[in-house]
Amino acid sequence: MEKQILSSKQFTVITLLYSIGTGILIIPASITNALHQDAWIGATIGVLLSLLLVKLYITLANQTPNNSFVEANGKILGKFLGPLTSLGFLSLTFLSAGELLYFIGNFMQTEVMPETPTLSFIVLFTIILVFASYLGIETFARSVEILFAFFSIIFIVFIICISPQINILNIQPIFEANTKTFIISTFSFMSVFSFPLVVLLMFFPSGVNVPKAAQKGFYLGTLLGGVVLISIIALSTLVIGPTNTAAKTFPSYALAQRISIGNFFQRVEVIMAVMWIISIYIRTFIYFYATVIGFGQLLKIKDSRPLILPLGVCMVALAQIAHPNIVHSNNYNQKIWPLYSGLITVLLPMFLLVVAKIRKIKQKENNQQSANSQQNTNNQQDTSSQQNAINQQGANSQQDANNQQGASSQQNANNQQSASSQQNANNQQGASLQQNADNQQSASSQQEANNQQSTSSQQDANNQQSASSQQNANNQQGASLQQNADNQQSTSSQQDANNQQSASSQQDANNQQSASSQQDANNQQSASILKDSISQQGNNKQENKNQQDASSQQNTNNQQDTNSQQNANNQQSASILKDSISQQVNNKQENKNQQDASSQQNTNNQQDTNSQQDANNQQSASILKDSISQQGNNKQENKNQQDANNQQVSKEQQQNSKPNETEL
Amino acid sequence: MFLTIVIVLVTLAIAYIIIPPLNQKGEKKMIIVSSFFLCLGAIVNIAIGLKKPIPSPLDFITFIFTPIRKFLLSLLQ
Repeated sequence: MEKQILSSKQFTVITLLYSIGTGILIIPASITNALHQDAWIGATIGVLLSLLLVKLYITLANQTPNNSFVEANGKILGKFLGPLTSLGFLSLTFLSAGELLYFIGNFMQTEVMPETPTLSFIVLFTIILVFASYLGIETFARSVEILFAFFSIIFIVFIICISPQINILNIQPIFEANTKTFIISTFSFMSVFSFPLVVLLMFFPSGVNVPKAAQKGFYLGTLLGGVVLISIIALSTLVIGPTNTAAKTFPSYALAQRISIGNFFQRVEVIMAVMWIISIYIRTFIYFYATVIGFGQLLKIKDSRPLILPLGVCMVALAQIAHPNIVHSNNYNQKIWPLYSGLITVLLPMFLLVVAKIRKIKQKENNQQSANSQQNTNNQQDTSSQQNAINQQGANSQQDANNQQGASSQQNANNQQSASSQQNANNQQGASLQQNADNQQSASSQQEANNQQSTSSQQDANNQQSASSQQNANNQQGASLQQNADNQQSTSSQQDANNQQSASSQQDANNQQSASSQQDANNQQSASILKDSISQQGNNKQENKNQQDASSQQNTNNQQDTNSQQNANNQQSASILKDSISQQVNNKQENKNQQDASSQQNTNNQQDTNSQQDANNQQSASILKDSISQQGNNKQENKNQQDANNQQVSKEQQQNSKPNETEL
Repeated sequence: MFLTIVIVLVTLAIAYIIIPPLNQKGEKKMIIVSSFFLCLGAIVNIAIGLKKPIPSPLDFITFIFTPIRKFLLSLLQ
């Protein structure tokens, strides 16, 4: 499935309801059993310690920001030990999911519908879980936002309705329990409340769009979930007394049974059941979905959807045999579960964090990213002129080869262009100046590559910049490497409408950028890029014209690609006119080829050519000549490239288009 | 008995839904893994339906962690 992104608000709400989980029904009994009337003190200490635990998780997650927990295991611990610990983690999530299904069936059958066999509740709930898993976690997050509204309304009504029956004497004497009991029961409380939060690391930095806000959301969700639990525990103690609370299996359910307002608002305990079903559904879904995704990542499978139904069947089986009776369940939950989860959710993350610090995993990632960016910037600045020209021409043909080399600006430039096919290579090289031109081109093709590479952001930026005189592009890149590129591209693509190349839209933007960037300051580029991109897309001859108007320079570049029309290149500068024409010619050829091969490819080529053209134009008259010659070469190259590259470009385009497609 | 037939039918239906698209795409690994899980689930479900005593996996976890628990408690005494 395509990458799912959560917003930080959704993540906060998920954390809140996930941490409440089964606690709202089960926890008051066990903690009051140990601490009697001091249960609320133990719960408060537990919540405060949980915040420390969340800090540990966030630190661990920041070591590998783009990987989920299972992938991070493999990355930090290596090829053999990583999958082993992942397997242990997945066993935890899978068994917990089955056990929670058992709880639902058991509760429903005990309290609500005693005549129904538990299998029916289990199967019904599993159907919902499987359905939700197929839709992905984004849909689930949206539904959680709605459910949270229900949950909070019901919770507040519940608190208000039960408060008149508080007997404050029930809380005395305070601080009667001894320290050892405090420690053990706080540990038990945390094992149900906050130890399972590690499962959220499967989604935390890698699937959230704003990491900083999500971190705050993590803390906030835990804190609010703890507040809910503390209030339930305190209310249980205050209203029905510590002895009764410890004696019952579901004390909060008994609490709801006591609500009676004016002899009218009675027998509303099923409302408590709704609250509980919501929180347990969220916890079960997160466990189940983490199992499915985790297995997919463990076996290095891209799309783990086919695993959902078989695992659902296994969970139904597991839920029926999890606990034969309540004694077994109590024994497991109070004695074994804290150790089992403590081992995998506290000791394992600590171990991972230590190993990650020792192996300097975070530095390696940052180094790679900075190296990429440096290359891009270097490429852009240096040979920009030479490279642009060369890149454009060479890019098409050399695409892959050139891109990789970034070392030689020219090569990079060429590569960039050719990069469209080489995409990835160009992306890397995009750092180098040449990349500006190339980036644009390669950007389109490499879009995927660019994305992959942190540098790619640079590349995209490069692309953008290439459009707008490299300098501008660089700025753009620096500012928001990927964003700029993407924005430009996307904007251009949108504008272009021609974006024919759905994927190429980015490319187009890149192309446009290269075209426009070179010549004028980024301003022109941005404006022109959009326009250029439109025009570049060649699809829109018209666009090119429009672009030309908008940004003479840009349009010219664009036009070249799309059609000979683009004499706009001439616009860019008189000297460039010649080049543009030549470029256009090349573009025409390319355009034709592209059309045949694939709109994407053409755009890539166009972009390349455009970028070349643009780069050439931008670079200055001196380059004009080069560009012209290059164009001639490019033509040849383009033709060759087109044939060869068509495949590549198509791939690239596909890559480029893939993001577009998924967006669509 | 009736339950067994229902389980077998459901398993075949799931297999029919999952396996041909994977076959078309040619993803061998995924076919093997999903059929493994499907068979495992089906077998255990049928056994439960026929009221055979199946040990719970949580018993296995309990078996591993009970000595550890004893050891930790002895430390705290």
